[in-house]
Amino acid sequence: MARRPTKMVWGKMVLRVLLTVICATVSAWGARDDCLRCHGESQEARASEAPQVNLDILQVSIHAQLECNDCHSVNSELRHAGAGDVLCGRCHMDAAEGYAESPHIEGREVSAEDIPTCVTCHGGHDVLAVNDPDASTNHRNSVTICIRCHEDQRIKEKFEILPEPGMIKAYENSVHGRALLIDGNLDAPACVDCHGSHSFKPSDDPESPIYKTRISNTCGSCHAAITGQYNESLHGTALAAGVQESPTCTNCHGEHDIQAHGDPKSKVYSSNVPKTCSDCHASELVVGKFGLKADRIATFNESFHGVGIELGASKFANCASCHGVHNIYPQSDRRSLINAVNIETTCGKCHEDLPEDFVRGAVHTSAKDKSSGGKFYVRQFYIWFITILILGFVIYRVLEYKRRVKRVQ
Amino acid sequence: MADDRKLSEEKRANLISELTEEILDTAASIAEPEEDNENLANMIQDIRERLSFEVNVLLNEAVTKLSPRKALERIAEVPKRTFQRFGINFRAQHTLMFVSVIILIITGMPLKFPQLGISKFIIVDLMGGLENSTLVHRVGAVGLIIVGVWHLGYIAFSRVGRRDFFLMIPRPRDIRDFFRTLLFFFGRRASGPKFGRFSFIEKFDYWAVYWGMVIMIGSGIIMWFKEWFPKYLYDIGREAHSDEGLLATLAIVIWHFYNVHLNPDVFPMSWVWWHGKLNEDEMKHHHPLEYAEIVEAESREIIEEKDRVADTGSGDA
Repeated sequence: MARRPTKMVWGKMVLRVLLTVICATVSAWGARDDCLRCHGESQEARASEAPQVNLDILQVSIHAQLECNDCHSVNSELRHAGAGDVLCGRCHMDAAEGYAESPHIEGREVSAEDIPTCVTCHGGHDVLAVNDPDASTNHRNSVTICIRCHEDQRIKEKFEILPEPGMIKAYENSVHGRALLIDGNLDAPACVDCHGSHSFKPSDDPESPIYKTRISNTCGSCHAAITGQYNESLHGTALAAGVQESPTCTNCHGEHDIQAHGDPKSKVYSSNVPKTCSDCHASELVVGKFGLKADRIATFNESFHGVGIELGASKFANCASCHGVHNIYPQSDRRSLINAVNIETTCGKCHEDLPEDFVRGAVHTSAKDKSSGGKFYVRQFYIWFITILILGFVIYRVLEYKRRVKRVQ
Repeated sequence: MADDRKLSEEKRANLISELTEEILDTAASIAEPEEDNENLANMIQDIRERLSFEVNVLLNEAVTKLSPRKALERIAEVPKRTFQRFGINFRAQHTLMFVSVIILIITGMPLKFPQLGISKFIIVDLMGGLENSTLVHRVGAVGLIIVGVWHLGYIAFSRVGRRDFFLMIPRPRDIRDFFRTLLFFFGRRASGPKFGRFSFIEKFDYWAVYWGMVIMIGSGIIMWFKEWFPKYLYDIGREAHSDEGLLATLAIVIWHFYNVHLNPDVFPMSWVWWHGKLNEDEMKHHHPLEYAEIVEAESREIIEEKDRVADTGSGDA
């Protein structure tokens, strides 16, 4: 994904530049030297107990031109007790605003020292611009920052709402994670691209980019064409109409562990598709609530296509081969791949030689169901025929054997 | 044969006791310093030869047990006469048939039970995927179709085939035989019914294969050339193929394998499929009526021959 410049209001930008200039000018009146008397690297400073500032690091940071009290609130009367407050929000107002509303702030009530502040992610004196490849918040490096806390068992124990460790780390092995971290493809999304950064929201917040109805748009910021298809599909329109059970991108593709569809580990790999669809289409809850046909997965598994998929044949038709992928419509819709006007083309993708008669035949029929006609009766016949014959064989053998034993005695 | 073995065991026991004596003698002679070395060397050579002879006897017995050729030779050695039950044509049909059927079962049964681990092992690991296994299945299918056509030709155009086919046709007598067999099993009769060339069991086996061939080849062709048929016929064909395939497999494993492999009389395997022969005892036991017919026909021939000789003899005189 291309890093989009944050949409900024021009006024705010101008204000920000002005503020920076004013801050810099005001502080340029030699304040730094005063601070460095104690915090610098001179003999005198080393003797004092005050924390030392490594000027080499500060010099290369993006804030090299700022003065100490631009960031540090110094109250000289209190001999700057409480100087721990770092005042990033004075300049970075948007970020500070977003951060103030994020769950990171709420977490302070549980354990303040485990909650990230600006410095936790961006660094202190060593802060670099976000587009600097060495910056801790650089697109590629930012993943490490998030994972550092969110995969920490100790932190997870304190904050119960956090997901289980491993779930987030799975990102590193996902198609997105590998592209970004291993292949160095900076267009691939990091955590912040889906979750947001300073102002991220939990998934149950309707404003969150990962709220169920907004996920397709979030994914669509890179996969725009697919989101367009999905939004028009049965699943997309149902979800937009408020059917919370209707699947969005992540229901079929997975979240952090998402894989390319050609990867056998992917939830949408050819032979995994029936399993993925069955999460809803074989679920009593969903099937019952929306009056869907409950036997779709079972009848597919019974079909030769299903047998092929079960035995790992990737060229065999799965659910999506006939019903579509992102463009699934009800059969009655003319856009549906299994609508009467399209069915020949759909079957024809694999079976060029099948005549019209054949492709119009009933599918998803079960020999266990009377309505399937002929094959139901064939099956009934064989159930009886096999049972009687095999019982006959076994009884005959047992009798013969007993007689043989008797004769030997 | 049991006598033969006993004999050879006796022979071996004798040899071993002889060897033991000789070894003791040798030991004694070594103890005597005046015996010369040449004598000793001869004795050791002698022992070595006898030992190698013993090992040879053992090996020979093992080989004879395992090798069909040696088994045939052994049967040929039996002075009792043999009866050629199945000709080379019929045996070739049977061989092509069981090779095809084994291929078909191995590549077909996993498709009926695709969830099983063994099915996945056979199709994915052994065959390298469903694309390959379905191809192999078609090879087996062609084999089976060839057997079917071949056999129809055989019963139409071969004299023996025609005769056997007419003998295979079920008669009321077979139903009677079946009930007599049951009575025999329940101990109500001292002996089972006497069979001719084909017992009711063999007739059942034969016609079961007929039925199976018609269903399997018919439904198989529908699936193979599905574009010629409507979908519902394909569905019926697939169900029938799948169920009849299971029935055939079970029948072969439970019924036929017992007859020709597991039955204590023939275990581990009857060789009739290979040489097609029965010996006189087997003939008398399993097909007494046919045996009686053959013997009667032969004695009639002999009598006729004698009469002819007598007639010509008297004519000359």
